[in-house]
Amino acid sequence: MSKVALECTQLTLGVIPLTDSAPLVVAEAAGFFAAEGLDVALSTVRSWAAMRDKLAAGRFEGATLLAPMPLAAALGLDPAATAILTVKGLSQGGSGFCVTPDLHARLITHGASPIATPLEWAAALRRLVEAERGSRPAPTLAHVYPYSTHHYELRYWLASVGLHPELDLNLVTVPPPLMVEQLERGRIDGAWVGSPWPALAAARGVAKVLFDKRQFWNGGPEKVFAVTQPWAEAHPATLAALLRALIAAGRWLDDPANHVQAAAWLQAALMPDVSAALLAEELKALRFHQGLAGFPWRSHSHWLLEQMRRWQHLPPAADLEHAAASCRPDLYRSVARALGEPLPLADEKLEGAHAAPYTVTGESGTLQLPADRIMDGISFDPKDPHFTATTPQREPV
Amino acid sequence: MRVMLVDDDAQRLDMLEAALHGVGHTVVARRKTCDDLLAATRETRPEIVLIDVDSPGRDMLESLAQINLNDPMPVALFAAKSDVESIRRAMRAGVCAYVVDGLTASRLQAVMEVAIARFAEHQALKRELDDARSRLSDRKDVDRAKGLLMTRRQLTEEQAYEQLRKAAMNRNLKIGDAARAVIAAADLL
Repeated sequence: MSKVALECTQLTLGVIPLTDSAPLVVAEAAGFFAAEGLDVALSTVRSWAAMRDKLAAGRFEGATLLAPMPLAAALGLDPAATAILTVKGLSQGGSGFCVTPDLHARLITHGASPIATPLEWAAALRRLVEAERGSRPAPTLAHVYPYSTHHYELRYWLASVGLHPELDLNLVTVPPPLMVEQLERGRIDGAWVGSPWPALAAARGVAKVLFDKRQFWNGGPEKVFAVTQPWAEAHPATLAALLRALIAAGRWLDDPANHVQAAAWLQAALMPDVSAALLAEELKALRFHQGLAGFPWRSHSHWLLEQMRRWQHLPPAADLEHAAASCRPDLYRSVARALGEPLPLADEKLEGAHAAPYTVTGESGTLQLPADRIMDGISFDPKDPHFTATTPQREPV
Repeated sequence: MRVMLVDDDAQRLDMLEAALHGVGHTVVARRKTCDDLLAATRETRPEIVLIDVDSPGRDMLESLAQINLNDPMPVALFAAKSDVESIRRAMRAGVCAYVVDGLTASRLQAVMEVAIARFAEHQALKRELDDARSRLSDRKDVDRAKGLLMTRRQLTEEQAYEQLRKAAMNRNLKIGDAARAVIAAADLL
């Protein structure tokens, strides 16, 4: 491949202690960055706010972000002073919902089977909230950040059975590395958080996992790789080199034979207190490249914007097209195409409609994608201007 | 002004609290970064929360900036109300702030100046201490390595130092690191 001169070779990228930081950790440790002529230092942060600020301030050239963060920045909701672009999906899967053993037992009392579906767990939670009203405080459920997939998925899950996230429950924000401790101390009754924290909480006996992201929405948005717009414009060749290295790391991570090595690197780089065996097990639940897991789907942005609209988190007169334009499949396409990677013809797809693997039209030929059913069976068509998710508009149950 | 401080570094907290007190502000709460910051904010009603920029507790405070029926307390990151230069200086010093709506820009600016100055001062102190520590241990290790070379290779002190200096230069090491490499190798033999 002909190499264009890189505008810069020394980069600092932001990572956070989560399994889905793996592509960055692997690209550094396995030499995928070096193979592209990049000298990358990874810098670990312990909060999403710090990640956003360091990216916006230019301390990081690129960062792992939650998928809604670039949208919130474009809408002026998050005080990032710089436009942030989603240039790649980092992974799919890799988050889950867990509750304390006490809340788990009460959900069973209210009719959930220990192997219930997400919708059945939600129905049991509604019966529990109705039965316990007045006798004990509403459960406190945590997510990781106001503008996180976890927050909007938690709200979606509650609303699917008519529970109002704010009137019927107590929702709080807790950064991932503090989640296990907060469950242990009884400050929260449940947590929707990225891997490995639900599994770690379960291993320590402080929580039980109700379901993971694949059961909630296989193929739904998760973490993304993001850069600022001014940096992307000034460093097109460097950005392309970064994307090539991350694609190579994603392909490498999809091979189960590499999970033990990847887990050892993740442990050493980010999570010294988490066992490598547990991390290797967690990696099985994530998809990094296959099934177009690295493609930054605009339809994911639209689904998230719809959730923000639904919960009245949008500012007045929000420009949703401008916000969705922070997702840049065009940048990913040009790099992936040169590598001969399969690409879809469209930047958007019907979301959540398929209970089994299905096909979409590709740039050359037909592509097979994994099942992507959303847990309540309601699909989302980003092209349908009349789509509105129902929101519990009523008094608390 | 009513101020809440969140930091795991007790010494830095003391410095900041004294400085704020000195210019007439009241510190209504001091917390560690992993404490329940929402409960503390509700209970003590600060007008501003000063917090270590890297604290994981920041994400809890960020939720106060999002519309939420349970926490009708409008809070914003100070960056939303400050100029770019103060934001850069604050980030370099390692402090950031969450402000309750209604605080005027000039009052915010004044209290941020105090916080930035104290955080920067603490950073400088820490750097001096770290430098002094590493200079001291470098000197000790260089002396030990020189001693080893002198006895094992029958060198004078100047010759031993010269060998050490050359080894460090050839391998692109600091002299302290080269000395530690010599000591480690000698321990193996």
